[in-house]
Amino acid sequence: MKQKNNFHFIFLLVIFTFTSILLFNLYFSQEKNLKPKLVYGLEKGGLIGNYLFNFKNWADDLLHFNNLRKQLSELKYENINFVNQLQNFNEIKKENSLLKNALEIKEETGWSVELAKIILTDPSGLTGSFWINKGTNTGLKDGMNVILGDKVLVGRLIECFNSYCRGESIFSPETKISVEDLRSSTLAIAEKDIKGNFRLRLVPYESDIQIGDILVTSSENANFFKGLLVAKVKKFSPSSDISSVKEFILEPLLNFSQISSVLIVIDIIPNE
Amino acid sequence: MLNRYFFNFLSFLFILFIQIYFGMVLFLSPVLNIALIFLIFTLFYFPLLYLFFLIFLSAIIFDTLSGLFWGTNFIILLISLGAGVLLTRFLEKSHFFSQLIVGESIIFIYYLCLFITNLVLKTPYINFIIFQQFLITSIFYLFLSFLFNKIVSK
Repeated sequence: MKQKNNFHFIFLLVIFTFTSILLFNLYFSQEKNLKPKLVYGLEKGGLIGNYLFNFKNWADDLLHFNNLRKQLSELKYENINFVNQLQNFNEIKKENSLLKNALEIKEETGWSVELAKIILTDPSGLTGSFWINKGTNTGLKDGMNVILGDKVLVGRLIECFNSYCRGESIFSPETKISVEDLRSSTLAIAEKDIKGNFRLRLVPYESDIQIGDILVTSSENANFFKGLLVAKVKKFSPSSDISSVKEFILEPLLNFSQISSVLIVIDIIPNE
Repeated sequence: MLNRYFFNFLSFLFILFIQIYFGMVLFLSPVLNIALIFLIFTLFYFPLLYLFFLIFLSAIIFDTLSGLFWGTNFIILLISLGAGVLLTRFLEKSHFFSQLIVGESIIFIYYLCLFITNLVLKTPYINFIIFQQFLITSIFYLFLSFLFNKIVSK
C-alpha cells in the first residue's frame, strides 16, 4: 500500500514538473506574440477605460482643490510676467527677421514628427511605461524621442511592434538627463531621489541657477537630443553631502493628465 | 456551481479593468493592488487550478504593461501565492484570522520580491514607493477582510 502511494506521489510529481516546464516555456517564448495582442484587446476596451480615467482625474482635482487654486494664482502672476517678456521679445523678433533678410539666412526646418495616442500606461506605478497606438508600420523605431507639441520631453520608445510601441517616460527608473539651464547655460544632471522627485545634482556652488529657471536637454545626452524642455527649478535643496556642490528640486514640465496625444520625432534617433 | 465561477471570472475582469485604467500613471506613485487582493480571496474559496489560470492572466497583463523583464510578475505572483497555498496547508483556510495571516503574508512576500527585484535591477529609489504600495494594499486588505467577515457573520 505504501509502495503504491509512493508511486502515485512520484507519478504526480513528474506530471507536475513536466507541465510546469511546458508552461514556463510557453509563457517565456510567447512574449512577442502576447504583448501586441493584449494591447490590441485592451485598446478596444479603452472607451470605457477613458471615462474611468477622466473620473479619476476629476476626483483627484476635487481632493486637491486648494492646491489647484494656489497653482492658478501663481500661473496668473507668471502669465503677466510672460506678457511683459513677450513685448520685449517682439522687438527682438523684428530685429532678427530684418537681420535674416539682410544676411539671407535660411530658416531651419523642424523635425519630422508622427502623431500618436497614449493608449495604456503601467498600472503598477513603478516603471513609467506607456503604450502608443503606432508601430513599425508607420516607421517608428526603438530609441526615437517622444515629445509634446510644445517640445516638452515625454520619453523615448523602447520596443516597437507592427501597430504598437512601448515607451518609457522620463519618470522611469534609472533615467538621468543631462540638462542645461536656459538662462545661465549651466550644465547639470537631473535624476531621481529616494522619493522619486527630480533633483538637479552636482551643481557647482558658484553656478548661477535660480528658482524658476527652465532646463532643457543638453547635447551630452545619450538618449535624448538637444533643446527639449524638461523641468523648472522649484526650490533649493540643502541636503547635499558635499559642500562644494548644491542641489535643486525640480518640477517636471510634463503633466500626464494633459497628454493623451504625443509626437514622435522620426528623423533623428539619438545614439544611432 | 458554474454560476459561481462565471461570477468570479466577471468580477476578476472588472477588477483588472479598474486596475489598468484607474491606476494609469506615468509618474512613479504608490498604487493600490486590487488585483492581488482579489487573487488572495480567490485562493480561499476556489480550487488551485482556477487560481493558477487567474494568476496566468494577471501576469500576462502586468508583464505587458509594466516595463519590467517579461515573466517578472508571473514569477513573483507564483512565489507569493504559492507561499499562500503552502500556508493554507497549516492554517485553517475558512477561519477569519488565518485568512488575515495568509493574506497579509502573501502581500508581504509579493512586495518583498518586488523589493529584491529592484535591488537587483539597481533602482533602489523606487523601494520607497514599493513600501508605500505594500502599506496601502495591506491596509485595504485588512479593511476588506473585516468588512467581509462582518457580512458573513451577519
